[in-house]
Amino acid sequence: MNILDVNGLKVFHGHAQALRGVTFHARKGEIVAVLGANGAGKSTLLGALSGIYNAKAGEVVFNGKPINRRTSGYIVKQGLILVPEHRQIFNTLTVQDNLLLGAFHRYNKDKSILYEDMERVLETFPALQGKEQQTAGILSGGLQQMLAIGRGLMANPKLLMLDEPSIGLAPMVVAEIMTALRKLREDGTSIILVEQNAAAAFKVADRAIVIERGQVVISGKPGELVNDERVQQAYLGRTRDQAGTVAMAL
Amino acid sequence: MPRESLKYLLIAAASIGFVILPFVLESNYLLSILIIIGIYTLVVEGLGVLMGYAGQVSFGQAAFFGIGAYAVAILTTRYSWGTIPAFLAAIVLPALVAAVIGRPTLKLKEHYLALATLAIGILVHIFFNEGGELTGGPSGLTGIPYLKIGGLVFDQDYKFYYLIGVFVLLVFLGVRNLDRSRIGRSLRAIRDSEVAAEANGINSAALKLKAFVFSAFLAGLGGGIYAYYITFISPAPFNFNMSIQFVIMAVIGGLGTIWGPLLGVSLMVALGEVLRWLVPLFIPNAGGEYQIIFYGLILVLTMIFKPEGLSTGWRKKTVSDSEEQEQKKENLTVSIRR
Ligand SMILES: Nc1ncnc2c1ncn2[C@@H]1O[C@H](COP(=O)(O)OP(=O)(O)OP(=O)(O)O)[C@@H](O)[C@H]1O
Ligand SMILES: [Mg+2]
Repeated sequence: MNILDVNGLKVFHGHAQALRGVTFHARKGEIVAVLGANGAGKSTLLGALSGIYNAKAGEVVFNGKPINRRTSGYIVKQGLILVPEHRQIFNTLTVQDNLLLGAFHRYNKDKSILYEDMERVLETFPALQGKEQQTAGILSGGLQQMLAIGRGLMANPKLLMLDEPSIGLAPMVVAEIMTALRKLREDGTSIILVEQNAAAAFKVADRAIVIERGQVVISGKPGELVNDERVQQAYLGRTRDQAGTVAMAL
Repeated sequence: MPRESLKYLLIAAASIGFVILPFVLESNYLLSILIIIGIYTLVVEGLGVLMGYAGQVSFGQAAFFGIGAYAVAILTTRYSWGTIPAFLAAIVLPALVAAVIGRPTLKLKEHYLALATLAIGILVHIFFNEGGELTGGPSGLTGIPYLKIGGLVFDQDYKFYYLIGVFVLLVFLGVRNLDRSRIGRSLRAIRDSEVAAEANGINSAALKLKAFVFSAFLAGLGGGIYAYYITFISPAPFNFNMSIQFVIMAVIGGLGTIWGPLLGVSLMVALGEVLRWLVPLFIPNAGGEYQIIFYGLILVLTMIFKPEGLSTGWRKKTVSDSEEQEQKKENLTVSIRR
C-alpha cells in the first residue's frame, strides 16, 4: 500500500518554475531515495510536500488523505515530517528543547509521554545522551544532524523526509545515521531520503527516483539505477569509473 | 553566602530602594525622568519581545505609543469618556491596528513588517498633525484629566512613579514567564530557523503576529500613561525619530533579555538629558537633531563591541564560549561555501 502519492506537482519560486509536474509514490515501510543534481528541485519537492511551499498544481495524497493546500501544521499532525536541509536545528535552545519542539503539535498531551519518547530518541542516537542540557548550537555537525533527525522523530512520523542528512559529515557519522534510518524502517517508519551521497543512499534505499530540472526522469531499484547511463550522468559523476566505485560500494 | 539568598537580598534591597526613592529625591526633575524611563521601558519591553524572540523589527512603535496617548487625549477631552475606559481604549486600539497591519504582512517571509510599520508610523504622524479638530493639529490637545482609579487620583509625580513601577514589574514578570513558556520557546525556534519551525508544525506567522500585537499593546499602555502624566500632547514625541530611538534602546540593552530594555532606556534617556544640556554649550543654535547622531554612534559602538547588548554576559569567557565561537565560525564558513 502507498503511504504517499504525488501526482503532477508543480511549484514556482516567484516566476521560476522549480517543479514541472513531479509524479512518484512511496510505499509503506520503504526507504525511497531522491537523487538529483544541485538545483534539481529536491528541496522544493520536500518543502511542497510538507506545506512550506504552495503548489500551483498537482495532487498529494498522504496516508489516504489529500494534503496539498493544507498548512504545515495539519500535515505534521498527519505524520508527514520533514528534517530540513542544512540541519536547521534551533541553535540557541538546548538539545532537550529542540527535541520537545519536535513534538510541538502534541504538546497538550501528557508530558510524561513526551519524555518517554525523548528517551527512545536518545536510544536511537546514543551520542546525544548526557547532552540534553547543552545548547544545540555548540554541538558538532554530526550531533546536530542527529538532533535534527531526533527532533523529526519526536513528531511521531509515519513518513520521515530527510533532506541531505549526510552533507558535510565524516563517513563514520554518515554510517551511523544510515544505520539509524534502517532501524527506523524496521520499526515501521517510511522514509524519503534526499541525498547527494548516492553511494550512501543506494545502500539503504529500497527504491530511488532521480529528479532533473523539476521532473522525475527515472525511478527503480538501486541495483538497476546504478548501471543506468542517465543516473551516472545526472548524479554519479560523468565517468564510468566513479559509477564503478559506487557499484563496488554496493 | 549562597548565590540564591544573595539574589533575594539584592531584590529586597532594590524593592526598598524603589519604594523610598521619591522621599529621598530632592528634585521633581529626577523623579520625572524616572517616570519617563518607566514609560519607555514598557514600550521597549514589547519591542524587545518582537525583535528578540520573533526576529522582526518595527519602525512604528512611536505611532502605537502615540495612538495610545491620543486615544486617551481625544476620548477624555472630546468625548468625555471616563479615564479608565479611555485608558483601556489606549491599550486595545494600538493592538487592533497592529493586528490589521500584521496579519497580511507577517504571512510574507521577508522583513515586510519593517516596511509596513515604517509606513504606518509616517501615516499616523501625519494624521496627528493634520487631524484638525479631532487631534488638535500641530499644537495638539490640552486639558487631559487626571487618571482616577477608584478613589485614587493620579495628580502627583510620586503617584505616577509607583503606578509605573507596578506596570513595569508586571511586564517584567510577564516577559519572564514568556521566556519559559511554550510560546517563548516556539518564538525562539522561529528566530533560529523558520523553516525547521514550520516543518515541526509551528505556525510562525501566527506567533509573530502575537508578538507584534503584544508589542503594540505595551506601546499603547505606555502611551496612555504618558498622556495622563503629561496632561497635554502634541504630535512631536510620536515621530519616526522616536521609533528609531525605541529600536536603539532595545538593541543596546540586549534583545531577548528582561533587564535589557530598562538598561537601554535608562542609558538613552540619561544621554538625552546630558546632550540637551551639553550640546548648546558647544553649538549654540543646535536643535534636537544633533541627538540622533549620538544615538547612532552609541548603536554603532554597541554593535561593534557588544552586539548581544549591554545587559548580557559580562561574565568571564568560559571554554564553552570559545567553542561556541568556533562553532559559529564553522557554521559561517559552511553557509558561505553553500
Ligand atoms: N526560496 C527560493 N526562491 C527562489 N528560487 C528558489 C528558492 N528555493 C529554490 N529555488 C530555485 O529552485 C530551484 C530548485 O531548488 P532546490 O533547492 O529545490 O534544489 P535542490 O535539488 O534541493 O538543490 P541542492 O542539491 O542544491 O539542495 C533552483 O533553481 C533554485 O535556485
Ligand atoms: Mg536542496
